[in-house]
Amino acid sequence: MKRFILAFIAAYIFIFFWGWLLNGVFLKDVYAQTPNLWRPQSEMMSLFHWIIIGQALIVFAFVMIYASGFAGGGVMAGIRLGVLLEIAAIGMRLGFYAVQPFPGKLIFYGSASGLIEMIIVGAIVGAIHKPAPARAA
Amino acid sequence: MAFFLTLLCARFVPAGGAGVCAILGIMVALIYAGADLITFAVQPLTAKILCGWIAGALIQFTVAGAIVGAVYKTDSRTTT
Repeated sequence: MKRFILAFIAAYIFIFFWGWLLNGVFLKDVYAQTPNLWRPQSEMMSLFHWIIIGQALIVFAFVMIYASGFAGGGVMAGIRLGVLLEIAAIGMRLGFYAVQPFPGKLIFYGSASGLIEMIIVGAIVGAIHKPAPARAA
Repeated sequence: MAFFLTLLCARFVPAGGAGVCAILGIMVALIYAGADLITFAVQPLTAKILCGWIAGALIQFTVAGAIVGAVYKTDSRTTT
C-alpha cells in the first residue's frame, strides 16, 4: 500500500508539472490561435479544481491497472502499460478531431507529448511500485 | 480503443473471464473520466455533456471489457 501511494504521488507530481509546462508554456501560442475553443482564462481558473481531480483520477487508475496486472515487471512493464494507454488516448483524440474544429498540429503535438508523458509515468510507477514479497509459511 | 482494450485484457487476464475484464474496463473508463474532467475545465462544455461522457465511458468500457473477456481465451492446447 505504501508503494502504491508513493507511486501515485510521484506520478501525480510529474503529470501536474508536465501539464503546466506543455499547455501553459510550450503550446500557449497554439492555443492562442483558437480562442473560441477554450474557456476564458478567468473561467478556467475557477474550474481549476476539476483539472486537479481529473489528473488525480488518471494517475490513480494508471497505478491501479499497473498494480493489478503489471506489478513485478518493473520499469519496462510500466512503460508498456503507458504506451498501451496512450494508444487509446490517441484514438480518443482522433475522435475529437473529427467532431471539433481543432487544428491538426494540436492533435499531433498532444499525441507526441502524451506518448512521452505516459512513458515517463509508466517508468516512474514501474520503478516505485513493487509487489509485496510472498511470506514464508 | 477497441484494439487497446483487447491488448490490455490479453495481458491483464490471459485466462479471460467477463467479470474480471469488465472490472478492467471500469478502471480504463476512470482514465477517460479524468480526461473528460480536464476537458470540461478548459473547454466551454456544459455539466450535462460532462456527465453524459463519463456515464457513457463507464458503460462503454464495462460492456466492451465483458465482451472481450467472454470471447478471448488463451490457446491452452499443447503440442507434444
